[in-house]
Amino acid sequence: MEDDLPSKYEVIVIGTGMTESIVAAAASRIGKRVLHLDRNDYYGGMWASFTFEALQKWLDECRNGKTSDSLKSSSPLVQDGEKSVNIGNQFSTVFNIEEKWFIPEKLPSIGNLQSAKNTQTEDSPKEIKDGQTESEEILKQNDKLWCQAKIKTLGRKFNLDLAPKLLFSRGTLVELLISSNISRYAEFRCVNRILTWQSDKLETVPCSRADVFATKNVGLIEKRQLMQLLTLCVEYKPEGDEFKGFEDKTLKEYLESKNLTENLMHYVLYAIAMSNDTTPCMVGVERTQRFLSSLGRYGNTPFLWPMYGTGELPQCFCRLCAVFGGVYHLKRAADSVIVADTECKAILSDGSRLDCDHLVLGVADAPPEFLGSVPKAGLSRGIFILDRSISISDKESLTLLQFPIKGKEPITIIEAGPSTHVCPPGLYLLHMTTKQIENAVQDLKPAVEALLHTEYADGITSRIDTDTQSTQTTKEGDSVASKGDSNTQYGLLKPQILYALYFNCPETSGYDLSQNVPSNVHLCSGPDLEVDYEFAVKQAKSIFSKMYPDSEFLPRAPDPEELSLEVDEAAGPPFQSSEEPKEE
Amino acid sequence: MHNRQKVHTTEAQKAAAEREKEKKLQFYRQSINDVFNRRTRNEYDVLALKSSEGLLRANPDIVTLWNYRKDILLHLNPSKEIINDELYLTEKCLQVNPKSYSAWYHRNWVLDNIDSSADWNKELSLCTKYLKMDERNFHCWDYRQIVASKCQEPHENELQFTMEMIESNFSNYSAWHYRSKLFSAAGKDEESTKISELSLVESAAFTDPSDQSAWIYQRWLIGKLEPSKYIYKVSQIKNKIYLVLNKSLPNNYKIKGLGNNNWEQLDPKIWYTNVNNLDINSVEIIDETNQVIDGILMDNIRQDIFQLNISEQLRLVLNAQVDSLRQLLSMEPESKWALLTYVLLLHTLKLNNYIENCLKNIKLLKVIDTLRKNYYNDLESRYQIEYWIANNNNTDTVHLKGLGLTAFYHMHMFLFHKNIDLSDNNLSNSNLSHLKYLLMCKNLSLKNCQLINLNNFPALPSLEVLDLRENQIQETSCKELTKCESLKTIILDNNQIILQKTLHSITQFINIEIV
Repeated sequence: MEDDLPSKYEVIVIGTGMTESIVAAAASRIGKRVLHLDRNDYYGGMWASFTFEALQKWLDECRNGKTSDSLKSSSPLVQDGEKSVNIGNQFSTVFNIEEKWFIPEKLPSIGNLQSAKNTQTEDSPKEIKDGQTESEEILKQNDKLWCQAKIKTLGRKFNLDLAPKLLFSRGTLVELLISSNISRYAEFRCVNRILTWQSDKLETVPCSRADVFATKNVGLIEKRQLMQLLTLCVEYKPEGDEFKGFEDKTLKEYLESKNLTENLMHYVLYAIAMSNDTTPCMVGVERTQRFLSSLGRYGNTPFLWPMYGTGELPQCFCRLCAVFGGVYHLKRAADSVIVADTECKAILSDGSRLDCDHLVLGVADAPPEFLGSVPKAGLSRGIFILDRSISISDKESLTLLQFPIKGKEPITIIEAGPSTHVCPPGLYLLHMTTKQIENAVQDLKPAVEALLHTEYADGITSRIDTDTQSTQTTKEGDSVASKGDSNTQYGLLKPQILYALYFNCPETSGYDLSQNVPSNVHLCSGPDLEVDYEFAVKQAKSIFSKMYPDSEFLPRAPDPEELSLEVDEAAGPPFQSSEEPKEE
Repeated sequence: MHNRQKVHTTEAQKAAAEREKEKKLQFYRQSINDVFNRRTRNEYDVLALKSSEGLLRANPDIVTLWNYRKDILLHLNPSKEIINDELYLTEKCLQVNPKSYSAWYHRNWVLDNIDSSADWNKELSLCTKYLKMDERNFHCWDYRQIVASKCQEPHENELQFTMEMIESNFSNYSAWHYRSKLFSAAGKDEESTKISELSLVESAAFTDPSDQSAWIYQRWLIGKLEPSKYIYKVSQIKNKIYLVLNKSLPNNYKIKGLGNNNWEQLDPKIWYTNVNNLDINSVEIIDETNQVIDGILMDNIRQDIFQLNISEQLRLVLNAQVDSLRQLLSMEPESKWALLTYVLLLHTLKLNNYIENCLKNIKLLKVIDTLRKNYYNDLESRYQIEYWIANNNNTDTVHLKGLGLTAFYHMHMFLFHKNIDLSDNNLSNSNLSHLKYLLMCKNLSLKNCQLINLNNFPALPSLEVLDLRENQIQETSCKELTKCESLKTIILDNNQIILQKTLHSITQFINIEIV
């Protein structure tokens, strides 16, 4: 089948995941001819964000596998001395999928009226605008009771991330977004709350100076100790000798030597250093430094969260790539890679031969023989739609919680609310990520049981309503279950799971992906375990510098107004105020 | 602009810049002349108003232009639209210079005098918005105080607002200061507020002991504690009765007693009346409802005069603060503010052995904060003198020898003493005027006090013997002594021959003893 895509490129990128997109943008930015393909009809691959409906579709495809019909091994497009290597099926990489509703399909009794209205709106898609406001109204009328139909009606208001991640305010991605001027394509919110789980309750971790001042969770002496310790870590330089003798010990051992209270130990070790009991001391200090250096740039915690979900970020880089001439084709799969000697010459896609100097592949699109023995296991993920926040406060919060588990990696939990446009009003979205040990359900169980109400909600009985609840919980939600007798109450206060999705996917960040590939083929890992994007940016940079060692990586892109276009400029009136100071 | 490479400009660039500057200057002169000409022609119309707008938007700090605008506005009886334009102009000017006194003032003036339907509530929310962006702009904080009182915003709301600002960054003098204003204005029972404020300050102190703002607020809180008693002593000198106070009397208080309410003021803390033949045995201070505030028997001394009025509950809180400061100091032994506050609290509470502790720590403060050494010296002098007064009821002799005094405090409490020994201290002539209270003093020793002249030495009516040994007093400065009518003897040492000669030439009646 012929199409009108040009057939020669300097770089072909397959898959629109984070790393692939950064590399595509960087190559396009320095003037390389880039073709960027994705077999899906959406951007991001395993880094995508979905509406509820799109998620269902994705799950179907994961379960059933996509029909891949074209397996032409010996095409006439393959020349002598060349070998065609088939590309596998990405959907085999998502497994252990468990989906569960905790609410009825439709609300009984009083729900009849609403479901009638719901169907009405569904039936008349032309009135989508009215329909939406109407459904929001229904939501208001009866926002303590939920049913599947209601969630599905509001499905377009979800942005459900496959790979939820945060950005360190001074991390490499933020710096890259700024230096490359790509930041104008995205919007962010500050994470405004770091929680931790200690002695069976949620607590707000004081991490900035203002937090330490305001918190009532730590005593006066603890405040000083905490500030001293944090200052020490910020000012730490390798030549200093504060950490002498702890080079081979764990961060925990170092903190113990400082005679910190158990409370402080917990805050520093699990929340601020983002470590666990076995993290080496110097690694922990480095993480603490990273955490603290990002504080205060945009808010009171070190983290930013992309509005409309993390799936926006790869698209920002794709957009830059396209602005500089990159060619995009979604819903277009590569069938095979053509290799001669130890070099990749071209790809075959949809019956065309597309030549390239460099080929960049996401792991999900890589031929099995390029991957070698890359581990299949990796991440345990959970996505939960909740009826309220895990810790209610006056204002809507955006929360990071590293849920510590004895002897294991912690479970990274991100909770986002409607103001970040990832879910409709009245609901919260909770993401859990951890290292896979067994499967997602088992691995995430401790956090799910501790934080969430997992009984089936029949849609008739309403639990304590959210409004009165916020007056019952303490401000900041700092100790929801501080009193022993309020345990039962806390049980009721726990958010109800409305919908849960568990799955596992591979984590290849620890694996050397260049082992089994031709020299001009570059593999990109999927989402890694870490909460941030440091790994993806680092990998993209290293791939780029392998391809173009002498070129600058994503120099600042000019603003539109900086570009002089060779068109008639009298297209519209000048956009400026008429009352400038007279002197000028 | 830090760390910018300076590039040498070429001659041509220089000249171009010069021309540009000249052009601007020309324009400025033209514009400002235009404005002034209009002003001399008494033009008070919209055109005149427009004429200074551009100038102010470039430089909002030309006060004269604002004043001309005020004149115009007063003549114009302006429409709502003109008023809004005027307010908009101040907004624009504040963007140019957020700390322009005149722009802030003008805005306030317009709303106050021109805008009959001024929306102060809107101003208040503007202030809130502004302070969220520029949290430490004291101009806006000051303006907010005015605005809040205009729209009678409840104190609670304003306290809540300052609290929010302090919670987001407690290093904010303006916010703390506003709290102090709000509490003073509320005038309500301050006990519980004081306690909760103290714990707030404590939290700031432990979070960052090197940040002054909260410490200074704490000083204000402690400093508001008043001595519990007024009267130190009542006694007779010749035909007058003198009443010595520790603090000056509020206007609504009166002195009563001795069958005579005709008391006159010698000094805010010293009152006197002529002796009547009535039996005199006590003096009282009463308020306007004749309630007795304080009273004392004739010739008695109140020894606990420096005790402060601290309730039991507050005392408990302050004691706990002393303990936590001790802990803080064990973690940060060189924290100046922690140490100073510790000293202040010890002195406020007067716990056992407080004086040794205070002096020891003041000594340390002088070492870690050498820039303020003299301040600490004076503080030490005050503590020493107060301690002596509180622990001696000898009415004849004052012993403040060798205490390293650099300043005098409470000298009016020595009004009745006959022998006063101030030798071996580090004084200067600027301190000497404080000796004016020593009305009964016969023998005064200023031996070895580092004096280099006697300027400001007061006329002491009873002084007979003055010891000036071991000072470096210059010859030209002893005329002051001739004003002391009863002075008979001045004691000098052998090194002061020149002084001796000078004294001889000035006063033949004074006996000069050389020791």
